[in-house]
Amino acid sequence: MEREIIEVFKESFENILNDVADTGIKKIDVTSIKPDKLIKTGFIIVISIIGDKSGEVLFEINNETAMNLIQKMSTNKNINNILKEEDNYSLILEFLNILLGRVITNLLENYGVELNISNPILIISNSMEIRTFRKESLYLIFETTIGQIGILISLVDINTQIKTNEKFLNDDFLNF
Amino acid sequence: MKYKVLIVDDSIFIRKIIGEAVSKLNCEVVGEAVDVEDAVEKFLKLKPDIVTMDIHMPSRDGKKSGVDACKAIKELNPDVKIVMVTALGHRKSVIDAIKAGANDYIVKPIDEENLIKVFTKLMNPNAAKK
Repeated sequence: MEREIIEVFKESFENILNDVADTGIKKIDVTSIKPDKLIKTGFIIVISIIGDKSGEVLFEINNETAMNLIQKMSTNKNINNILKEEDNYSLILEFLNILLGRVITNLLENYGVELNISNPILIISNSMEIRTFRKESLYLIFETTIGQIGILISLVDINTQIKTNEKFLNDDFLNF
Repeated sequence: MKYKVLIVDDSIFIRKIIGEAVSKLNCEVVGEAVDVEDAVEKFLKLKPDIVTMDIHMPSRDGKKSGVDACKAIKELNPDVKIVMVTALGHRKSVIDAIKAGANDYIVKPIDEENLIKVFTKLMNPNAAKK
């Protein structure tokens, strides 16, 4: 399933980036990361996933790339002259909303995996430390013509999640 | 007479895109709403002929979506035309929207040509039947 999820994210990201921001991808790197801290700066957007799989998808975009994306999106849709500076965040969030919408549609129609997403949470910081507590997460790094965009996918099968919670209750909570 | 349009979406990006597109038709954007409750309040106040409604939208109690707003508005006025706007293009999402009373739907990213086609069909229902 891991390979299918990567393929769906890669294909959806490429299509949406092209459709919404007229931007191409030069290179994609996929790595698997163990629970560890990631030091990141710029825009971080967290979206929770529930359904057949549960967890989080986290997007990280540095300030310069975020501004390039906003500029491309508004110019592509000819609305750059009517947007205010405070509207910029809305563009980033909507980009991710559209991307995840495409991912969810593809996963359901092609693989029968049903997921729902939360409203995205945007965090902006010049210095932050992110930790994943899943056993393993996938980290996709897209090298685009406007800069680098990272997507951290941390999802587990819902049955695995229930077993993990039960183990936590048995091993830790009850012995507390 | 121009058709009065209410645009409901929490994203200003989408509101502007829809506003720009419908302004090319025989339509006037009479208002914008940003959440479920705002949508119903603005509908009552502005009495639009057509509403574009985002499905995945916040509500003040965190429990409702654009589908609930669609149902509420259709109960207030069954004749109003509602176009659901969604990032989800799968069948289940479309069926939910139609069950809630939506007249049509558009999948994001919004294609202006498609949006104009949907609006033209809603404004000329008899022409579409021919």
